[in-house]
Amino acid sequence: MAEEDKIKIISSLLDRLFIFTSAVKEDIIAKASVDLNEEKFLALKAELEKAVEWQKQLVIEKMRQDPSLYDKIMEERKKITEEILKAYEDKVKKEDQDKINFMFLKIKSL
Amino acid sequence: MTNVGADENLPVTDVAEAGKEGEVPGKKREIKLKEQVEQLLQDVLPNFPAGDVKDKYQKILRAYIDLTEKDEAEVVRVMREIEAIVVKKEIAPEKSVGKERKEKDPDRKAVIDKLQSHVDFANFLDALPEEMKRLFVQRETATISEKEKIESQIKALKDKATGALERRYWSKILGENLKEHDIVITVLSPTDKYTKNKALNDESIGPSENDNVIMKRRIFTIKHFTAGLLERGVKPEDVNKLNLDYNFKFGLFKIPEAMQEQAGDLQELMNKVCGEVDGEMTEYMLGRVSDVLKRLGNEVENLEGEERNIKQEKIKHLEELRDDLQTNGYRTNYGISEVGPKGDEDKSQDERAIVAVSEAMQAARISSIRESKDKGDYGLNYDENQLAGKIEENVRMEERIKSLSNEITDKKGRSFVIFDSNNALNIDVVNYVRKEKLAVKAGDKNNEAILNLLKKYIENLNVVDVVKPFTMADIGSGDWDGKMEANREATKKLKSLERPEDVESVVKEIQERLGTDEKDERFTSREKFNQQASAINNCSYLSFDKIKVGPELLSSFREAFNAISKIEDEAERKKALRELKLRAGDETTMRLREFRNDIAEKLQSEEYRKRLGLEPGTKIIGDVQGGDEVLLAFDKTKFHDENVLDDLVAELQGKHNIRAVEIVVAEANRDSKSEAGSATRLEEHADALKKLEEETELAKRIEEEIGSLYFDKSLDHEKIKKMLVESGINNNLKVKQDDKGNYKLLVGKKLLSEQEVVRLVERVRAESEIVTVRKALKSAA
Repeated sequence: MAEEDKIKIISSLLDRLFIFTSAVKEDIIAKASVDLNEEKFLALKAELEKAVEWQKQLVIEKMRQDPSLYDKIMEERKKITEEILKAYEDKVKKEDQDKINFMFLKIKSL
Repeated sequence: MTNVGADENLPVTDVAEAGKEGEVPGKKREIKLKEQVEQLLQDVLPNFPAGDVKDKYQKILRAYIDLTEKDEAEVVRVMREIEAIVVKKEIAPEKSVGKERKEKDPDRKAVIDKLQSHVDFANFLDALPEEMKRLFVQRETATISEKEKIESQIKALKDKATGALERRYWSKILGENLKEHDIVITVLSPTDKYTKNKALNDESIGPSENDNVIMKRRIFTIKHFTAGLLERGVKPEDVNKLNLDYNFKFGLFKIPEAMQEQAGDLQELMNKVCGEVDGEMTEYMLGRVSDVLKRLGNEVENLEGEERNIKQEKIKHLEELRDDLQTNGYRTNYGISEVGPKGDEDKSQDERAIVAVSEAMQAARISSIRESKDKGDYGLNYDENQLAGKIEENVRMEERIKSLSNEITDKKGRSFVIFDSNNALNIDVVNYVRKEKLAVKAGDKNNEAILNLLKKYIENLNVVDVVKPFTMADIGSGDWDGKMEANREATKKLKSLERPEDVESVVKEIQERLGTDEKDERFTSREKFNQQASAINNCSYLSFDKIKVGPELLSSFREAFNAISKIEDEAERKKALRELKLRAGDETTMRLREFRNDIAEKLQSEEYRKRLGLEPGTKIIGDVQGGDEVLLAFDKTKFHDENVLDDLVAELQGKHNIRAVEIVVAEANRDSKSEAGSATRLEEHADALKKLEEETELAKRIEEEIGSLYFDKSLDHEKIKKMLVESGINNNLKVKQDDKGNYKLLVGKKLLSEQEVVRLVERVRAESEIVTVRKALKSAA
């Protein structure tokens, strides 16, 4: 398997792990990219798959303990989604406004 | 991996629901639960191309899932497992450099040659009285032709010693050496990204090789300056008196009033001089860089793991330097100013001289940061409005930075406040920007704009930096004048020394002066340091480096800029600008003195003298490098207790923010026994210093790792502090050679490799983030 494909697989596994911060994940990728031979790749993949499964079981356990957890997290997730969409909308609006301002200036300078 | 949620442990509610018609409630609920988990673990807005969103969501998940101590320990364990896999086989066993390879190493040869010249000078000083006496006695009975030869030998000895004396205490600048209307010219070392001293020392060629670069620049500059004036008809004997100083940052020349007409257009002269210097320096540096690259290329082939990574990074920096030299060349800048007339508001001639030097430096610095200049235009004449303009520009930039958000977020998502709640400039940000370590995400226009503003802002602050070894308080109190006068008297006595019976008293004083550090008389001079340290069989080297001196200095310039910008009265403003030219950096000079003073006082205290086995009244074998670095050497065989250096480091680090790197050369690994020749000793000394240089680099990188934890606002700093203390990680980093000859970092009381430290830092980062998010959510709830 090409080095690039191995990194893709490792990245997608890491992507599923919320227990690690982005900085940690970036660092793992950076270090793995230096030399990811077959032996290392298989060991790393196996470790990450185990971690993904452990994480899943962890969430299941937490949700059993607190049945409202799902709703709480979904609520937060909704908020993030809205926040992001709003930011995007604002960005687009600002860009539109900038374009209008620019046209005004153009017209004034004529 | 510990399994945290076995399916058979269903909650009691599931059992109660069992038995409903046609349903298997426990199973159904379990399926629903798993579906929900799958959904939760999916990325939010998967098609939205923003990494931040994913980060934010994952943080929320981490917070709500609320890991127990046991879970956290498991996460850390997994991280370690992964780390062990990805760095496996990369931590190559350290290799001792083969003797054959060492001998072929041109860098090593350059370092040894430089050290040899120091030792030669120290030996020359030791032999001076005998040599002088011998020549004086020989002269008495010599024939006329022999006498002539002896006279020239005596003159050569005197010139060598007086030349060294005259370079001390700004002796050629202060006193009567710069008179009203004399012109002062500075030639500033490059300030560009790849060729500035900091980049050459820290990133590419290293301090030892940079010393050679400075030496070459000095030779080329004096050569072309001299040639330029000779072409214009100035007499050779007059030209030789014009170089006043040459240090790692700048060269200083004067054109006396009487010579100015003959010297003609000075900008034209200096443009030619700098152009020629730059041409020769570009060629010289390209040659050196190419040699080093070739050698590193061969070396890297045989390396693995971290050692290979370090060398590859070095190669990358050297390639960048080479490409920059090929595209832009080596670029010096000059500045020109004039010593003010008597009867001006100036208090003394020395002050007028210092102001002129400051002004010439400022003009050179402002020239170096000009955004556009013609090819062949290397400098500026000083103009009062230049500095005033930079001050105004900085006030505007500061307002702009604050209005933009007063924060900068780097490409890793870490946010740094630029001006804190007390309106103080964050010196860590300054440090990162100066070292070119702060990079923003590609396309992040806002942060890119802030970073560019910050770069310009810092460049402007740097305009007032002058390297002078004294403060204005020294000049005012007469301390400096006294030292200078005594130095001048000693020089005069040596020049007029003619009788063998006077040799002892005159030369003894010269030996004492030249064997002593100019900044602090309790330490040896650099030449004596290298002579004495290389003669110690079982030597311990200890280097102290005061951290963040540059950023602190810049922060003090910023305060001065802001104060001046608020002065409305024209005369008052002019006065304040003048004060800045005179006193910029004095506070830092005082702090550095305190730092050296504390080292000297400790070492000369009765307690430490006894523990180190030092005789009372002996000079400290130390090289005071630059001012913010002190390198010490000790004879380990004289130690009365082996923890003495550890205690010394701990005590000094309790008071100062310093980096300590200790190289303990284990006896078993030294070739130099008492019968070894001086060449072998010097080689071993050079190797230890080289190692010290490399390990200091390593210590700096680890500091950056630790520093990055504190920069990140999203982390729990209290938790970080606690964990770092528990792990034994702090700024007290030392390097020790173990019995097998390998150098390792001493962290707390453990010897760790760099990789191990980095892993610890990562663990701290991950754990403190979990704590922070949880705390934030709890307080929000």
